[in-house]
Amino acid sequence: MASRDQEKEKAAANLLRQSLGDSGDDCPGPDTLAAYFERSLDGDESARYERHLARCTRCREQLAALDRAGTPDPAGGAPPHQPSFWPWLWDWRWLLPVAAALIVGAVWVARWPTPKRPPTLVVLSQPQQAPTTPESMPENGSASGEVPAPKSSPNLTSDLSPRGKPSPRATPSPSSKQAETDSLAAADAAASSAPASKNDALRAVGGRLEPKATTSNAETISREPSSMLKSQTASPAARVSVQGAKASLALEAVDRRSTREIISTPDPKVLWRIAEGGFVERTQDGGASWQAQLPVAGAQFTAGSAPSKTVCWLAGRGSMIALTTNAKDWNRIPPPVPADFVAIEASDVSNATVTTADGRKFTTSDGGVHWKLVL
Amino acid sequence: MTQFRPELYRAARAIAGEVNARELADSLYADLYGLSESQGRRKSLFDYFHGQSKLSTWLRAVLAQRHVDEIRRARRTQPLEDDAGAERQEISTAAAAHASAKAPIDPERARYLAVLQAALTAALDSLDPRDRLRLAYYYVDDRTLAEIGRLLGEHEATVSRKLERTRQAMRRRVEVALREEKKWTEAQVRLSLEYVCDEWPFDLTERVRSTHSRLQPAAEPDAASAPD
Repeated sequence: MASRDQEKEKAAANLLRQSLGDSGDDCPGPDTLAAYFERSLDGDESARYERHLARCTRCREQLAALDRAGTPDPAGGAPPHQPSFWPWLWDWRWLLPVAAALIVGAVWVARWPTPKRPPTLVVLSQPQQAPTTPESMPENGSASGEVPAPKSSPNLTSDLSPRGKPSPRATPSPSSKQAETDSLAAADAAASSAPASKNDALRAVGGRLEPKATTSNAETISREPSSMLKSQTASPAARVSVQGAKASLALEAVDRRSTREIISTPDPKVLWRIAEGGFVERTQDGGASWQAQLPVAGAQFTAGSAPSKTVCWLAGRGSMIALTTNAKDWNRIPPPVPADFVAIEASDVSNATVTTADGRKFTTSDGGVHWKLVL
Repeated sequence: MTQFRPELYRAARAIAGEVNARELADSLYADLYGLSESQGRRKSLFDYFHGQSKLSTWLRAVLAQRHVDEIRRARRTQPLEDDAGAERQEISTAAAAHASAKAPIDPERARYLAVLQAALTAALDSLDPRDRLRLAYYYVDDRTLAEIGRLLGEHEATVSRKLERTRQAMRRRVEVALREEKKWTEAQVRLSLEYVCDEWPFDLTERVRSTHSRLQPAAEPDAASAPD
């Protein structure tokens, strides 16, 4: 497998070398080379030079040689090749606090409960701690009612219970402090086992903890709002449901996201779903585990259609259409018209029909190269 | 003014390696301080400095260009040294054996590859110049992501991401060109890509050239160029 890929890379290199060519004439002189290196050429001149560079091995060799010479001069001569603006963006000293702030912010946003959503609890404590909760629970089930989150337990939960129920609702300030601790604890839990990427942590903490992303102690429990009133009797139920949670995890995971667009394929085990921020997720085991992909960063997909396990079409706002034929690599498909797409139906890799927000339908039979208005 | 002479040597060493540095720097120094005469007037290389960049950068650029031109001239005209020549001989015989072991060049295959090449060229033309340059750095000059990032002023991760995007765009455009303009079927497209992956004479010629170019100082990129 690897050597096949190497062959392909080599073949690609050869082809590109030939196609790009080696013009070797009308090469700019040292003024342009130096100015480009220093980034003192303006946009047009720079683009013109890059156009030449792409096809001229000689000039690229010269640029490489100049780059080698660009070492700092202790006598205070020419400074080294200035790094561009962007690399400092990745400086961890800056990025980490920003990422942390973003995570907290994202949790706050995600915690706005939707009325119909059943509350979910993430218990980060040991299962046996659950039975102790009723003791510290207030008798009337009011006040600090983050269930089952007594102040004594440092491992808190994120409570997504709906608003508008006066008695189980927590008073604003304790809950907000706990929310922050929740989010950071949950973020830590997610981040420690998931790859340390900001996006993973963001997605995990925003109420969408993946079963595989959590530590072994983290469970997901679904509770009805009314059960919070029955705080004392909740403990055996909590224990049972904590232990039973693992078993029902897969079902729970899919259920909790039933409002999210699920794209089914002919294989019942293989599903796609649209997540936020341009991400999509795909499962191959019926929803027990999901793998995330990023077809187009920041896209807002609204619909999808998967005619096979590996072919999936996505459509969304802002003229967004994307297609994968191998369940891995995505390509943007130029839209028929600039529009927000709200639906898509595809029968295979070449045939699909999209619907715009204003009800027009366009169809393609060549994978999106040509579109026809459907009358 | 002479205090920058050591700096010139330092730059020359970085560019051309220890062995060639002195000659490179000295010849430039001479041209700068007008030790040559033209039309009865002392001419200095400084006359060609137009202030588009810092003087020190310009001087290094002159060194870089002179060095590379010298290298390329040497590549074209000089016969290979013995051990490289022997290696080349080995590769040639191996190549010949390999070529004859395979079927003789199939005209069909040649046609497929020519069409693919044309589609590729067209797809390259449609790219943004910067994306094209990034591809050239990676595939032709064999640079690492870090080096490309430095040359383009991008973060390494950005280089990787953009290379991937460009690759995908290229693949799509080539396939579209082949299917739409040439009316190739899926099978034909796949077949042509198979042909590309097989060894064929062009590839071996490139390998010979790149071996030749390894005579250069260690820092020199292994840039195999098309026939000059």
